[in-house]
Amino acid sequence: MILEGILLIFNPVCLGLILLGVLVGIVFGAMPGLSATMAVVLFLPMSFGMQPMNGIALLVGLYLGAISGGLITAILLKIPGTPSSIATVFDGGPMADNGEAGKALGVGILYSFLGGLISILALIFISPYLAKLTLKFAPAEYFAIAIFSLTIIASLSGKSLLKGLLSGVLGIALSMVGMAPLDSFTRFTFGYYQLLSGFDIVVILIGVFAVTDIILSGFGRRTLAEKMEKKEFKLNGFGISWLEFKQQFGNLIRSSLIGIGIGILPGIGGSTAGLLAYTATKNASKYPEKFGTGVVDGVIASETANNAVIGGSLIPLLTMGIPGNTVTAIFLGGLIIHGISPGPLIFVKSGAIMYGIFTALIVANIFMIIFETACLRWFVKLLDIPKHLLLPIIMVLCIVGSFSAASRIFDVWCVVAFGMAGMFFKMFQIPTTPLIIGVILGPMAEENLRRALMASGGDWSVFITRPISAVFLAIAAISMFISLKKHWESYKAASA
Amino acid sequence: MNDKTRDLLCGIIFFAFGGAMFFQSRNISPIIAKEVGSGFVPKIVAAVFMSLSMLLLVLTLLKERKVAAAKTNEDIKGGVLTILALIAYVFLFDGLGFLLSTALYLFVQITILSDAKNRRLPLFCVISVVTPTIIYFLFVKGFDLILPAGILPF
Repeated sequence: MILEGILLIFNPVCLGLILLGVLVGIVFGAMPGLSATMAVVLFLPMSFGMQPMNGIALLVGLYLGAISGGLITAILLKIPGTPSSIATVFDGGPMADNGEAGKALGVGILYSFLGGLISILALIFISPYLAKLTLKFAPAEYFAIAIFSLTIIASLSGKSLLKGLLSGVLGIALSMVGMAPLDSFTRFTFGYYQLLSGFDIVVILIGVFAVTDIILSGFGRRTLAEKMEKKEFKLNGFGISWLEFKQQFGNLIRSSLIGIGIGILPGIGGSTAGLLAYTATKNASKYPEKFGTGVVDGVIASETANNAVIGGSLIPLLTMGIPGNTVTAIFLGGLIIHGISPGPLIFVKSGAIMYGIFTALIVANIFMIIFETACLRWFVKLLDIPKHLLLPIIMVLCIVGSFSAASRIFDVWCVVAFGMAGMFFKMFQIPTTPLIIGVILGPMAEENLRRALMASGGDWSVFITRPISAVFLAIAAISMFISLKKHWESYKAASA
Repeated sequence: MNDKTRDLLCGIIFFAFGGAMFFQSRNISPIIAKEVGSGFVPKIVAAVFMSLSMLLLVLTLLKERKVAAAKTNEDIKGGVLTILALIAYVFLFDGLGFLLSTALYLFVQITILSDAKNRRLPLFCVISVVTPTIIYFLFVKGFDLILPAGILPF
């Protein structure tokens, strides 16, 4: 059966489809506004007419390519191509500024591959056991994870903890616009129907990262040409030495585990995985103060974790039929159309296809690393284009991306509005990263808080009597306390 | 604007925002029986908002005033023109259609960002026409996505 599955993949048509999927996926991933979900949706109808394995292999390639493409724009332009690559911007961007764009990309690509590979192995060997464990996760646990994840705001606030927290709370507030979870009560729409569905995370991302950037370069246009002096670019292999690789081994394992763990849990997603792994690495590091100035550790953490989500998210999908994110939800549709019903019996009923999917994932991962490494030199060339030409073109791509997310001009207006808001944030020296974290995690925290309270009949003790939830909340409290202490010490030192 | 004024202003704006949010969420009543309702979390968030911004205000007022007049190399005209160009672009995006509005925007924006030394208008013209054309064919013909057609017949 294993051999049968592998043979299903190794024919020219199927390999060609995986390659096509990976290439198109990378393009979708790299372009801000175009997401992995959109890539899979666009190609889903095309896959219906194919042999089951071919159609599914195409979708696998698209998914993997789209998650891996985000790092290109995140590093070179400081605009995350997909929400999963947000944390890659923190150190990848500064690395490019320091003339290490090639190294950042090379390392990012290598660790995307490794993160993906480790998660695929986890999917193959331990998926049934892991899947059972996650069945124990109820709303109380999800709420605890959301709260725990929100504490990373404190680590990513920069100089002013208070402003970081305010920014995070504003993000949560923004996420509340539109229909509320559970009862669909319309909140903060001011009677404006376009706001019913709220703000898309992509719209906020493009606004705060891309539009703000172009407005600021308008203000700084006198120095725009000066920043362009050519930087030396050298790259051997992936830009990482064997010694560095050994030093980063702990980072690789930790970030992969975070990625797989987040991937298995439905509804959290790659962006949280990248941010959590980044923060965990920063806090475990001997030089946390250097994070954000262009250390390779940050890029490794983020890219390993977001690719590890891929294998992780397929675990509940294939073994229980539970889609964890929008991509796997569409994937589920694709599987069912082809007569494959995911669930505990999938190995019995469609064993060959299962092993085919595993093989397709590994093949797609290999295609990804070959293609991205081969094109690395051309990617870096992007930086040689003068800024006054490059930035407007990027802006156009962002506008197109934000429009195609839902084909409405309202989103494009929002992008510009968030860009202006981002400009004021910069003026007031408020960090924007906490805002994004708030937008991502706010809805998860609220929905699960209310679900948990509903299930417990309004009894708040459920959050501390359930062990997994209690552990996460305890870690959240400890991490919050440590951050507060650190900030208080530096505040006292500054005012003394 | 020095650090102190900036932080004070920041605190006041956020406090007002939190207040407005609390005011707005007063009327959200629970629909499902035995449930905290959709107004519960917004009220907490608004309260956190107000207390954090209050804290920021207090801490800022207590802080010694350190005057640091930063020298700015900012070009207000460039920034304002960029914002205006963006707004005009979005405004024309739907009306004129993707191709025309984008060509126009690209030309204007590139000219704004260029300086006397690198201002090569013929090159800018070519870029402004070629870029939208490539994007249009890639997106509309290749990926089957929708972009506003506007006044052009295709």
